[in-house]
Amino acid sequence: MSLQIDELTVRYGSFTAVSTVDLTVTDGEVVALLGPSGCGKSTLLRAVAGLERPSGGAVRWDGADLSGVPVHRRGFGLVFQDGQLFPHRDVAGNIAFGLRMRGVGAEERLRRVAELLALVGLSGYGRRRVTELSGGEQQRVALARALAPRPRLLLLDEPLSALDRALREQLSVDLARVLRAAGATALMVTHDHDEAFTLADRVAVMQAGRIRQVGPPARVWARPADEEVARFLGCGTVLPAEVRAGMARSALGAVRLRDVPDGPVELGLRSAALRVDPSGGLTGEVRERVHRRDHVRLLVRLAGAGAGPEQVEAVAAVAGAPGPGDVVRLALDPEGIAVLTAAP
Amino acid sequence: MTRRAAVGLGLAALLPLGFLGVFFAWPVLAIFRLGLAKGGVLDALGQSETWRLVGFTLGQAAASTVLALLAGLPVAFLLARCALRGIGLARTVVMVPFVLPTVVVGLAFRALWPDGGVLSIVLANAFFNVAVVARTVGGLWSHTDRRAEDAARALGASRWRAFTSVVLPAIAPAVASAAAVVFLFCATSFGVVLVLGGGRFRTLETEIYLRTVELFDLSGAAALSLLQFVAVVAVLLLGAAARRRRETALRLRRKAETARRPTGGEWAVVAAAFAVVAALLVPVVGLVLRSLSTSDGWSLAGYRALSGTGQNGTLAVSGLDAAMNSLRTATDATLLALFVGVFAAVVLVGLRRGRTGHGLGTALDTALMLPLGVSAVTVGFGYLITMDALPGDLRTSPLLVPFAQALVVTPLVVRMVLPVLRAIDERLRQAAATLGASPLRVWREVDLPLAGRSLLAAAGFGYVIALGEFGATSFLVRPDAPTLPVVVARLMARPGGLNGQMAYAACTLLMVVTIVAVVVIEKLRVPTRAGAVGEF
Repeated sequence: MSLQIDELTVRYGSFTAVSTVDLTVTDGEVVALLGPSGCGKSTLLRAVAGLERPSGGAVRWDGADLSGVPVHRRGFGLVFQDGQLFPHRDVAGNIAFGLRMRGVGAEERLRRVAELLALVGLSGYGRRRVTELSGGEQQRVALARALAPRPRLLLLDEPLSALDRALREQLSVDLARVLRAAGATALMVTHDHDEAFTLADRVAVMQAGRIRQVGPPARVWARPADEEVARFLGCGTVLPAEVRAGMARSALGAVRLRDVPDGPVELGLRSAALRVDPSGGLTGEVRERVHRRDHVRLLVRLAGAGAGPEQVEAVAAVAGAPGPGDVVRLALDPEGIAVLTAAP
Repeated sequence: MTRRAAVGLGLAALLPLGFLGVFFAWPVLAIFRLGLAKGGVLDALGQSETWRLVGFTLGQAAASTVLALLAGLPVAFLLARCALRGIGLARTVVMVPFVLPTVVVGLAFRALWPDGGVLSIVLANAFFNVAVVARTVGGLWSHTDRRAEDAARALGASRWRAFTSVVLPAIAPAVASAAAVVFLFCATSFGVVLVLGGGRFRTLETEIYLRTVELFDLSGAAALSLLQFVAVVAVLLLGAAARRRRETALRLRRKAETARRPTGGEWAVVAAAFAVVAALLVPVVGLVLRSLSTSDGWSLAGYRALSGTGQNGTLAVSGLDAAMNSLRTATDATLLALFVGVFAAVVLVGLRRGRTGHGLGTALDTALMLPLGVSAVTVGFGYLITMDALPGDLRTSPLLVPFAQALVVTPLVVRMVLPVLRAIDERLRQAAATLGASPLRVWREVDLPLAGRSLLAAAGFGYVIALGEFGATSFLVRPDAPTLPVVVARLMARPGGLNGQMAYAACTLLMVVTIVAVVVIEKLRVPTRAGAVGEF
């Protein structure tokens, strides 16, 4: 019960959208394809669904090549970014669609529809018109519709991107619960780190048609493979450091890092890597200030910068946050620091 | 798209192409051969008479097109941008002239101006085509984002400046496309010119008919057909270019978001639009009145006479028999056109979807439009010289006329069904496929329910067009089984006594059937896609 993608390549004319990708999704696992828009992740997903014809490589299920199997015989469920519910059917009619295609009896269909409505938290919505639903409700129905025929693999194409932020955060938690409850094996496409890390057991970072790194979310987040992956995962500054006995020394000072062997490394600094701290060892002048929900983000020009960067991002608490022109002291915080795994 | 699906689509494309080949390309090419074989074309090109005909054909078509645009644009504004009571009625009234049989329109204008003349020809042609302009332009206009206009106004543009700098460029492709189609319709208009121009004012189209039927100058007629075809193809290509731009360049909005109550100077445009709508009713009402008024005052004599064969047996069959023939023929033609048209639309949607079939799709699309522009007279004429080669000698078959009519109706079916099928999000079909629906099942579960209303509307629309078809039918119909429009023309050719009265009565009946059909079609209109019905 597993999906294997072997050296899959998809070309549009001379443009290679997906280039020799290898990936495995095992039973009950949720894998997220994470990457910037245009990196080929949706194309890869569509090729798995059978909606794109690969120009090389293979998609296999339990070792059997699927290249001759048309979309409707693959038994893979697909959820689009914007639902794509059938406008001429009500909620129950949408959810029952896949069951009807498989010739499931009317009584069994009713039972399964009720079960799924309960699962996605929409009990009693069966007779509603899908055009009357909110975006979040539509997306829940789309999920229920895809899950109803018990697909052997669920494909999710940016399932939450069309929703506004508050709803997206809530629904991603719900989605994680539903996927676990249904025991679904799933491959999900997203460009949102939070979404990927909330939902996935493993994350595959994709850039320019290739998979750059695969691993558990926490590992990928803390140990990006190279500078490009690090920058995509929010590290605005990358700088060299020397580790000795757990202490990493760089142009911005020393910081204690766990589980890093001695020797030269590269550090990826997210904005939270530097905090305003009166006892910090760095001094600089605030150039810009942006309020975020629970902190303030600063752009700081460092005083007397030598080998290090001239400007850095830093964070401060909302209360008493410094403004442009203020001089602040900054300290390194290991929480905001990633260690690149590829040697420099 | 998988390779197997691509091959399947390619094979499926053979059906509409085969239909076009046998019932359109072959007859038309046969005409060309006839025209070229005896040096007929060179002869015709050398005659000053030919150039006078060409000049008059183009001149009256240009004048009619300008008039139709001037009258149609305010109506387009009314239908697209105004939220007012009575819009639905106006929409229906505008649609009626377009589906009226040509002989009916000819006769209606003859009832208003018995002397005929160039002015009545131009007016009648424009009358016909106001609907094309209003619906084509209005359809696009109602879906263009009104906020661009608001942005221009907010940036300091006057209402007029906002119209010329923002709205006009946005709707220009539709205006160009409508103008091209109207020009074609007017240049190949047959029934109207024949009834109103008689022997005095002739276009290429009526001249082809007269030379074939009355002078037996086949090679001369063929030469003129060839000349006309070249012009038609040129105009069609221009129209296709305009259509392509329209499909790609716009972000469409729902109509409800773009219609408002008019303000200020807009009321003048609204008044003009309603004036046009009222003017469209004049020939319709005139025809009804004329059918009821005789030299002895009001009378139903014309209607009663329909049960007979006219003064001194002008007709081979009674008016009622002709009406039954019309209904039967139109039914056959509609079923045939629906089959070919829907099949073609499905293939076109599939081809557009695939990366490989795009060029083939565009070619098929344009090929399907050709019969709309090529004169029905040429097609009918072509059938006469080719159909004996088919098994079973189709020339004497009662199916010959339905085939010709289906050829005229099919492009309209395609144009009505295609936009709706194209508007269905491809991912909706993909969603159905991932849920286990085979391609055929996807069509039944997704396409058919969503396009059902426009399919029914296309059927109704096709039916009235077939009912009133005159150009090809007049060539092909067997003398013992004429349709109603053919009977009307024959009655008008032998005026005297009851014949004229009978013709007006028959026309009124045709008109009533047409109006009923239009009302039904309007009821079937898909609410959020204003342009879906009758857009070209």
